[in-house]
Amino acid sequence: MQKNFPVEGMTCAACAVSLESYLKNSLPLESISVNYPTHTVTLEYNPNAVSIADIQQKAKEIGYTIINLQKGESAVLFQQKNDQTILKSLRKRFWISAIFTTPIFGISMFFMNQIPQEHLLLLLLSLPVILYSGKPFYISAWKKIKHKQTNMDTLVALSTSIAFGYSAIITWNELANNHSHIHVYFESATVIITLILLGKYLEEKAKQNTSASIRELLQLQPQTAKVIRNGEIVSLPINEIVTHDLIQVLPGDIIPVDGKIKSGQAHINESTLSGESIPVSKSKGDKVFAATINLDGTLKIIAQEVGSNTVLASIVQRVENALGSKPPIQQTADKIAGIFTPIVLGIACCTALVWCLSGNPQVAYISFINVLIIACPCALGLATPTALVVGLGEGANHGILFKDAEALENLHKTTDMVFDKTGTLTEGKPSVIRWWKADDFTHQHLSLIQFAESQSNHPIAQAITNFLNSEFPQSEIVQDVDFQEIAGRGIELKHKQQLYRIGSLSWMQTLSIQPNPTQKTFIDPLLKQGNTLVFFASNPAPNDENQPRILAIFAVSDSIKSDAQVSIQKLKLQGITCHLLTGDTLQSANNVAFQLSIEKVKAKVLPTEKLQYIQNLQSQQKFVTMVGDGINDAPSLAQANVGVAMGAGTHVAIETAQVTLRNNRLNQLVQALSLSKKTFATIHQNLFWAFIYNLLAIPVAAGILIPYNGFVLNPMIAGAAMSFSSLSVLGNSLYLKFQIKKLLR
Amino acid sequence: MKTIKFTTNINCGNCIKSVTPWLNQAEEIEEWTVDTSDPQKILTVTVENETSPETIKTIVIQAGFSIQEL
Repeated sequence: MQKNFPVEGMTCAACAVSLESYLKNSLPLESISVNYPTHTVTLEYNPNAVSIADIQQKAKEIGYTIINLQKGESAVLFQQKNDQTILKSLRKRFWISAIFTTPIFGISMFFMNQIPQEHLLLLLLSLPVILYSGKPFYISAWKKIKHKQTNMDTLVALSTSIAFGYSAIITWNELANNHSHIHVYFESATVIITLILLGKYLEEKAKQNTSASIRELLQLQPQTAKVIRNGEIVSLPINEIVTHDLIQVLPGDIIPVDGKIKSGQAHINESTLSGESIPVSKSKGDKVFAATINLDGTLKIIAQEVGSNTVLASIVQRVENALGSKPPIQQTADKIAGIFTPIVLGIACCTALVWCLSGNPQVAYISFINVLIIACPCALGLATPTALVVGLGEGANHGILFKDAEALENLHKTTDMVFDKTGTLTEGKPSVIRWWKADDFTHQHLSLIQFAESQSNHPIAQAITNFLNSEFPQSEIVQDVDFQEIAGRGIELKHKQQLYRIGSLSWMQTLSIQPNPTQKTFIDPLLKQGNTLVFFASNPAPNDENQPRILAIFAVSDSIKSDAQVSIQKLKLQGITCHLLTGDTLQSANNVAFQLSIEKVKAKVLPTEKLQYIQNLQSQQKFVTMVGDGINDAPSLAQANVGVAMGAGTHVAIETAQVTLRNNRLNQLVQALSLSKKTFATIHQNLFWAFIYNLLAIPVAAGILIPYNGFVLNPMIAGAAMSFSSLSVLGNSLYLKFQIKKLLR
Repeated sequence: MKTIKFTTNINCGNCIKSVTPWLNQAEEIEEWTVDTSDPQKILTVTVENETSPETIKTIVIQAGFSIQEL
């Protein structure tokens, strides 16, 4: 038995390793793999040999909680709930921090030495900020240090605890020995915590909510089905259906399970699975799939796969897995802090050492502390979030919706872009591209077709109606028509004793109506390009000598979006390799790829194959962006480094992707790339501004001026560095707004 | 289409459950129902005209029940 469980209590990659090795050595498990980024563990075990309670017990022994989910709860949904609690607690921490920091900042900057016992007051005001709001930084930094790692949290924890500790000692001494005029750094510690928390909160808020896509997917399946049991039709909840059950599916019904048609025929809209909007005609013996829609016939199907074995369930599973296994991309700020922290520590130690050796232990102590206090740039926490918030906001104003800040920060790294065909590169709606008519094709015939096609809700029928209405707006209205839709085949019309049929070539052929040589020269190239053909044929009255014959042919195809070619060209100029993956035939795939000059094409791919194709690219260290619109694209949208959905696409695709192009145009994709590039550049500039003032102040803190004029760092310098770096970062982020406006105009 | 009736020992709901896959999957059978309230446990099947009662018998026997044509 193989199962996925969420794990609580892991805080770093080493936790994952320890949990894995501990469980592996203490229990008879077949296999175990702990995934740190998703906080899940995949266990393969024999339930007879070891129970889940045992496993939970063992994990508890070393401080981790394995959560055994109730049936129906998914690991990703659980993770979402967890993210929500994180966001809530961040918000609380930030507000508490902000409320206490404001008076601290005000007193320190404007009312210094004017309030009795002000240091004690500041100390008391700082306590909740340090002990409550700042707690996670200290915990995280401590855990990192234990594994000899440093990140932004280390820098924050070090700097604030030293600033606070040093100031607290001074305050204490003051109380004991009455008055003295030594600077305190309470405001520096609390402002840093407040601003970094603000940044973290903004960032967490911009994280994507992935649970919606899975909920949408689960809703595609109907909740009940009409099952024929012992000759009676009973409506049963979907989870009570077993394999071999006979199920009745009426026109307009969603097929509830995967199965085989036992009787009846119908057009089935399989766009949920194949992404193709043109319905497929199916009859006895053909396979049908859950979540596809029966358009026009009454079917009886035998259930073959139910519950978690359906193709739909496998898509849900894959979306969930791909979303869950997406590794977090390390934040630039964290990366820099990881290098910066040890250097600062080194400088601080050197400073102390140098002053000690020169016989000034007092100065050594002060400078050591000063270096650490000044080193933490409080704007560090703002550098990334402010740029991202501007980028997200401006993108949204121009119809490019980034749901996930990480996607905005990283989209520009794309090396390979994988496109779905229908609805992404093409309009997704069939339209008539060419037509042919016989010499004796009359206005009356035209009106008949117009009448008949307007009765049908088949997308091809709608395409022909639209075409005829725009070509021949003045056509007459015919009377006395007998109209019958033949499920899965086409339309039969009777007008003045004459029988007409509108339908596919295969239907014509079963009626032994063959195209003549002229018609053949018209249809052959069109078929090669992967177009769908619709025939209008007359069937003479029984006493008529004439053979049944074809009077008109319509070639229907999904046309390419007008801006597709230019956009693909622009992407290629940026060095991005474009790929086309489609569930459609090779002919139509090649046709589109040729017109857009996309070299890498793969046709007839299943949703899972699309996913594998992307995994394959990723294993070659490619940064893959997937652009799609259908439910069948959902697993690949989730798997890709960045998923982009078309605004007119399905809810599932939009919910799964991190980016949505609201206007459905491909040039927005090019804009999204530039937006990402600009935002990323701004983040880098911000980091520069965040660090530069503090870097410049470090030599002063180290006491470089003491030999010349006895100048020691005071809180004014620390305050100035904080203000300047914060203002520069904010200013630069606002400048990004201006840049993007110019770019997207 | 024609209807054929058989007496069987398909006695209860569980018997119906175990015979269901066999009858549902049989290409020849369009519709079927068992009347378990009848002492003779009548199985009524609707089949194509050319289907012989023997075919149905074979299927039901394969499913582990006894069957006779009425």
